[in-house]
Amino acid sequence: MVENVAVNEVVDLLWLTAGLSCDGDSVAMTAATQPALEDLIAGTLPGAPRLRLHHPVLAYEVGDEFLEVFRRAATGDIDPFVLVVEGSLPDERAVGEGCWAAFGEPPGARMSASAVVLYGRTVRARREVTRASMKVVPDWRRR
Amino acid sequence: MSGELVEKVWEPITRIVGSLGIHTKIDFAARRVAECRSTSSIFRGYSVFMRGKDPRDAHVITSRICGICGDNHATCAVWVGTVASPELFDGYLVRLEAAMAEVRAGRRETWTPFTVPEDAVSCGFHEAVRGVLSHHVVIRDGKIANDHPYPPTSWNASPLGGGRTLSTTHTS
Repeated sequence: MVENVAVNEVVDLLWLTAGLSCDGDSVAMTAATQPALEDLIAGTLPGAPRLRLHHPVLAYEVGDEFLEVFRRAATGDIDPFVLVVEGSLPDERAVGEGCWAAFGEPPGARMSASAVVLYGRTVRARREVTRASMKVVPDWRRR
Repeated sequence: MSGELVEKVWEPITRIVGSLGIHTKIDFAARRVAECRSTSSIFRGYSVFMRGKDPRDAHVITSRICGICGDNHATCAVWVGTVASPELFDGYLVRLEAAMAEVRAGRRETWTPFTVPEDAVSCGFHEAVRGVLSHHVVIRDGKIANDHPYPPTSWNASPLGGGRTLSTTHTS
């Protein structure tokens, strides 16, 4: 018998469209073919873990039922998991009352200060990586 | 007959774009919705950065609002331009027939000049998947002074009742 499921693992993928996104990336993902989203969810790819997708645009669950897995991940109940934030990250410090982007919170709720700091650090780190990579002359140009 | 008001909240509502939440108070005994508010938990700022833009660019920019129904937003924005210009709007059907005659004759290139009015208040409507989508635009000095895209939810689940739009979705 061929072992076509090499990794008998399930990975939770938590997808947030609560960045300032148009959700076009999610729509594009549903049309992906190499691999198809269905292949990852069904776990038919050898070597790739089966995907448990929690996605606001594709989920059956609504409201609290949908948020449950995100709350469990936040409290460390699910570990490890992959978090995807689709869209750009708003600067929540530049807002008076309320917030630019919230997810499953009552209206007017704000993001925690530590989340803002983490966001800022991530954005800065990515900017540094991009800058550094632009300074490097690629091998093909040296030749 | 009226009973106890039960608070029911659906947030986020999945399978749509735009991080929608519906907050209601329902009197189940009387089968009546006493209160209904729709809210969007994301502020993208289109109504802010559309200010000062050329109305002829509106369909290119506002179509980026949604990764699913971008064409609906583009159509709305084009209608805004058509409605804003009296000579265009009044002659719409006449020109449509003229254009069809051109197409039937095998001439597929046609051009109608469009001049942006200096001052106008205009709107465009289009049927999107979830309901009616509309763009409301104020043009001053040939530029957009105010542009508000109203998503279908503002029409469907407005706290003031169907057809009257006042919700947090677009007061932002």
